[in-house]
Order: sequence, then structure tokens, then C-alpha cells
Amino acid sequence: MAKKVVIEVLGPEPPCPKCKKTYEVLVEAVKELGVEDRVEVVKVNAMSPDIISKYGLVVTPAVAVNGEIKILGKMLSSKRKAIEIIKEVLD
Amino acid sequence: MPNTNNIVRVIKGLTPIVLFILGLTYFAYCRITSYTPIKLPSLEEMKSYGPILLPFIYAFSYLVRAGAALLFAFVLAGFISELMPKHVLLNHLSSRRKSSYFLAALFSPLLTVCSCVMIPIFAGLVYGGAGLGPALAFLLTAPAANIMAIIFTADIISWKIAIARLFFSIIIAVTVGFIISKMPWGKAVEEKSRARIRKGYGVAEQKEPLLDKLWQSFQTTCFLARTILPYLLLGIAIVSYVQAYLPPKIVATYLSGFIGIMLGAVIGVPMYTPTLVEVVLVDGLRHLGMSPSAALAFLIGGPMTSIPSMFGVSRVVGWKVILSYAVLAVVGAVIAGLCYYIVLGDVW
Repeated sequence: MAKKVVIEVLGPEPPCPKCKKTYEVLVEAVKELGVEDRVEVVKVNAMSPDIISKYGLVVTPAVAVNGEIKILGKMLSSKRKAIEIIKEVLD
Repeated sequence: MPNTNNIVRVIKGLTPIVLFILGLTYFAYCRITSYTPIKLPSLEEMKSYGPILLPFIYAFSYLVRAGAALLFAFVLAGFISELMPKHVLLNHLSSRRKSSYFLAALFSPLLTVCSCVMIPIFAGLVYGGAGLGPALAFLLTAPAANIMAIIFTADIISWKIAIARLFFSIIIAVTVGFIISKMPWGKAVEEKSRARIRKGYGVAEQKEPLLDKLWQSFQTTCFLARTILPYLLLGIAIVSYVQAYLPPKIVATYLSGFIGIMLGAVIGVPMYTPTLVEVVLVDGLRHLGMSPSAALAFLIGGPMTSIPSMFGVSRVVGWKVILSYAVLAVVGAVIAGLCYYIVLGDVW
């Protein structure tokens, strides 16, 4: 089985409304595509030193796919775009 | 039907631009001709409405009066949050040169349209970027000099106060950041985090057509409006009671002159006002006799020392740093008020 794709949503802890929305949209998109077994969406704390040393300075909400930042400081609100992002990784 | 799709896209993309131009034109027109679509009710009128009707009438007249400025400010904030090349700004911020203080203070209003964005950037600056001093400069400028707040201040109160607020916020933020990074506990934080510096990171942002970006910026605008307006309306309703029932004598005695400046800077600390509400409150109080210099001290000191952001930051740098920056920010706000009084006197 192929390695799972990890999509990280970077946000402050406690989460801000924009980051929550981004996370929800991504989770919904994964469900709609039916790829729960291949893609994992996780929310990570953008304030932890580990995340900062991994990604450097970020504007939240940010979305990183497999350790690469795809969205920086923008709320992801359309499911269509979320699906595009996920499809791109899976191909 | 690709053709209709394209038309829809163009219309969607142009919506924020049209609203922006409308808002800006109307806002500028009102400023230049000093035309006001509706007058705020006078004190006697306010009392005659009675306690039930009062907040509604007050809020309504506020929205009519400040509608253009609010529209303009919200659309602009949407543009900034969507169209700003953020990774470019962030790369500049990651340096350890002296100029990073000013860059942090100047970029701060451009990066933080929503206050929840602030603390992660702050943490990032402390751990991995420019260090504690610029991080503090960034943190302190953001709420007091945010673009929406400045536009709203200019519209509701006056240009002089708005410009003074922006100017002094940046100066105070940079100074406080610099002083604290030289203090023993500030140095301790810097030592602890210096090991984590990391330069350059992969950003593979997706390229998108401008029209789509514009539509997204409009969605951000709506999101901001939905988040901020309820608090603003509630704030306006509360201020209507303050203005109608707080005896002017108290305000005129305690919120003017030197005591006024001191009190103005200090009362902002425990009082947490959501963004933009502080402006409404000041406007209410000035009709009761608050002096401009006291108002300026309040508008700078209050947002800089907001308790929620202090809690958020405490996890990153500890309470000693926070208490010292709060004290210094209040002192700075007092000095700003004094400077305003010396230079301009009691002019709004």
C-alpha cells in the first residue's frame, strides 16, 4: 500500500475561525472523493517550535501537503479548490 | 457552457473592485465636502428615545454614517489578505538586521487583517526569524495600526488622530521591542530560541487567475464582515447607553488634561474592546468632553495591551516579557498623548 498523503493545516492553538473552516473544507473534500484511506488531514499548532523549525515563518491559516506549503495565509473556503489540491497530490 | 461560465467569473471578479471604488468615492466625497448623510442624535434626543429604542436608532445612524468607510475598509482588507505576496514579506522579515524592526512594524498592518494571525507570526519571529525585538514590534503594531481600524478612526473621529495613532503605534512598538530585547529576561528568551533558526522554506503556492483571486478576496471580505460586524453592533449599542447616561461632568473631569491622558492609557489595559469598537467608544466619550490627547492615549494603549493576545503570547515568551511590554506600552501611550497635546493642543 502506498504511503499516506498528509495534509497539514497550520493554525494557532486555540484555532482561529479561518483555520477551522479550512480544516473542515479539506476533510469534507477528502470524504467526497472517498480517499480517506489515502489522505489524512491533520490540524497542527503553528505556534509550536517544531512546526516553526519545519516551515519557518508562516501566516495562518496555511496548508502544507507532504511538507510543502501550498496555501499561505488564506482561508480555503471552496470545496472545489480543496478537491483540486487533493487530486493533484494523488496523481 | 464555457461562455456563461466566463461571464460569471468576470462578474464575480469585478464585484470587489466595483464595491471598492464605490466605497472609496463616497468616503472621499464625504470627507472633502464634509457632507454627512445623517447626523448622530444629540444628547437630549438620545435621552428622549428611551432605553429600548436608543441602541437601535444609534446603531442605525452609525451604520449610515460610517457605511462607506466600513465598506471601503472591509474590501481593502480582503484585497490585502488575498493579493499580498506574503512569502516575499516573510522572507524579508526573517533577517536579523536592525532594519527588521521597522520592517516588522511596517509589514504588520499588511499581514494581519485578522488578529488571530498575529500570534503564530509572533512565535515564528521569536523562534525562527528575526528575534524577540522585531517580534514584539510586530505584535504591538498590529492591533493599534491595523488598516481597518485606521480608516475607521479617520472617518469617525478625525484624520489627525488616525495619523497620530498610526505614527505613534509604530514608533512605540519599535522602541518597546528594542528595549525589551536588551533586558535580561528578553535576552534569555533570545538565547533559548536562537538555535532554531531556519532559512528559506519551500512555498509552492498555486498560481491562480486574477479574477478568481479577486472573488476570493471578496469572500474574505464577507468573512471579516460576518466576524467583526456583530461585535461592532453590540459595541455601538453599549456605547449608546454610555453616551446617553454617563454624566458629562465625570468624563470632562477625568478624561481631559494630564489625568485624562494617564487614565486613557491605563483604562485600555483591563478593558478589552473588539476591533473598531474602541473607535466608537472614543467617539461617544468625546461628545461628553474627552480630550483628543486622552483619546489618542486610549486608542494606542488599549489595543496594544489587549488581554487575549497577552494570554496567547504568554505561552511563547513568558509573563516577565509580557508585563514589561505592557508597562512600556502604557508609558508610550502616555507620551504619545502628551506629544499630541504639545503639538496640536485640544484639536481633534
